[in-house]
Amino acid sequence: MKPMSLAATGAATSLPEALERHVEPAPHKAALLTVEDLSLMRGDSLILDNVSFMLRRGATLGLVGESGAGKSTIALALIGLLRPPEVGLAGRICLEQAGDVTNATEAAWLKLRGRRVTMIFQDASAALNPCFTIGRQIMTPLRRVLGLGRTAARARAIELLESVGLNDAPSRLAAYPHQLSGGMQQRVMIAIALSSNPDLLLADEPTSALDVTIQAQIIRLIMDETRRRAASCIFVLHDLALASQCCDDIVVLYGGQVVETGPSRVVLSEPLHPYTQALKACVLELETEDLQPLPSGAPSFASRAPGCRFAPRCARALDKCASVKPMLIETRGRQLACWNPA
Amino acid sequence: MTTAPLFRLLDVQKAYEVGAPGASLLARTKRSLRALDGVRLSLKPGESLAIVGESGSGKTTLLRVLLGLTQPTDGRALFREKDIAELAGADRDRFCREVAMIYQDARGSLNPRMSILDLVAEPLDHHGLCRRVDRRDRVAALLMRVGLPAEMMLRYVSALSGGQLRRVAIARALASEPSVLVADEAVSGLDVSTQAQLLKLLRDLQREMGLSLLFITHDLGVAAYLCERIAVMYLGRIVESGLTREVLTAPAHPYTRALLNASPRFFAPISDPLPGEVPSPIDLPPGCRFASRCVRAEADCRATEPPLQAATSTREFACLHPLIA
Repeated sequence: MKPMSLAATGAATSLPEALERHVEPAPHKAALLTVEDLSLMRGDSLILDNVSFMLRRGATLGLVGESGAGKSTIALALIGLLRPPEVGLAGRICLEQAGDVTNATEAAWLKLRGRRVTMIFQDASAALNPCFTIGRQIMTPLRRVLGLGRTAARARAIELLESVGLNDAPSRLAAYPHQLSGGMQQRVMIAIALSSNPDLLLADEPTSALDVTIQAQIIRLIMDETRRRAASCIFVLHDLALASQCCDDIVVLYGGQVVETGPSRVVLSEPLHPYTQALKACVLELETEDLQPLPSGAPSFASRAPGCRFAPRCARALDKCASVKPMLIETRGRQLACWNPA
Repeated sequence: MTTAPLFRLLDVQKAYEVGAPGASLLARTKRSLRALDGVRLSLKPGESLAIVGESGSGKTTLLRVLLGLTQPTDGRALFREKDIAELAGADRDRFCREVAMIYQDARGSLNPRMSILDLVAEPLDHHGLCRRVDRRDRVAALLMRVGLPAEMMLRYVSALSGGQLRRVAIARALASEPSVLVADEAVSGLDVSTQAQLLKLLRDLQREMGLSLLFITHDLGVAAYLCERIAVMYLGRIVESGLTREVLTAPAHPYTRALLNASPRFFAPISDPLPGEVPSPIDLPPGCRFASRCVRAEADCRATEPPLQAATSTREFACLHPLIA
């Protein structure tokens, strides 16, 4: 969809062969990750309600929705940080080569987390440890996960920092997180997340704390670097315009339910679900003359509540919307869960 | 109504003395950090002006100067043609009543130990704007005006959501019947749906009450929706200003162009982002301060600092090689 640019990031091409595990160019058709009917219970609340989607190897997927939609919850479940007995899980999370990891043990997750699945958090300044230097934080996973020696880890750390656009990388290794700007901290997070050559990178609102010009740099960087490694990426975003720019596929969530999903070009150019339409109408573009805000309201997570969770705020709601939950059905190039689509 | 400007900034400069980077805390050497450098702008009654820029551009210092919280080191900041810092007595009271502020962090700007009723009524009490018996009715009317149920006045800050608190902050700002609303990132960090509700509310209020609006934001979409005029800041200077529509359809300054390119737009490929970050405002090199990141920079840009010059009656920019003739 978007041209791949190696030049823009000054991509390091001298990576050791052993580290480049994937040689095939992206994207292929094979599913890297399949999420089937994933439900997540916290006490009596059904936080995720039968969420299903599929991510191809080398593709990017966007999880979008308002706060409370379950976007970050999905990301945490996918990296094994939200597991029973803390929460109740049903359904399947299948990762290529690892199989069904829904009920995987912590020991099994330790082989995946930080290795095949890595994550970039929203607030880099909170995710980096303020007591350790950048060098230590980036070299520790290199030594533990890849088993590199001290010198090799240092060389690789410098390479990684350079590939994420941090100039003067050797001296940055001795810097502490507070000595870097927010954009630089986020670059370090990306370098750490990419250090193990993951198959799946989870980026949870990676730019919402950054200025727009830095946001563009960071999103471009994540796209270029995952593409170069043939890795897949899941972006958690609330900005639909940004999602249209960086995601091949999109999953629109409301109150833990998938309301519409498909190729972002299809879903976002002609949204059919009233919620997707309303979200799109809230996005300010430069030409926006008139806004039609959604009425306020938060979804109920009560596990007994039947029906579509968006119904109380929906202008097109029918009687049955509140009582019978609509299933995701293939409609005009995407999957849609709505009794009364536009 | 007179057209004399409410606010006028005349070549305002604000410099801070800071320790030299890397030097010991006790070192005597001080460097000058110019947070604002020759800022000129005016706000007329009923006008809406957006101040746009990234972090480090001096937006917050500008705001502090406008509110009289910081004294400019050079130049003059005027409210109704009087120096803001020297306002006293009745003038000072009038200034406090006429200029209302909406802060970015609504939760932090509202006292958690006061009920919503007391928070919204505080400006009324302070300025003696209503009789004790009418207090509840006035607060109820203000809350309803911002789209909150009147019963909410009995609640406390902790019981309200982020979007509701922003509304309370707006109601509180409106209580003193101001002529200018000054808002610092008043809609950032919210869900798009909540943001859209607040933007619509602010625009309706501004139009219906004939308020002047000075809106600080980093989002060009917000600026375009809410404000007729825009001023783009970079490292303490206004680099371009004019009618929002004109500036955003045909920017003259490469920085304005870069901000536009970086704003998310549906299905537009993410074009080559601006390289690097905003440099440190300490000891700036001579010449245009944007030159280090500018794709159009030439040798003269690094030698002479371009002044902010009027191109048309509505448009000013500071660039030696502008994008428009």
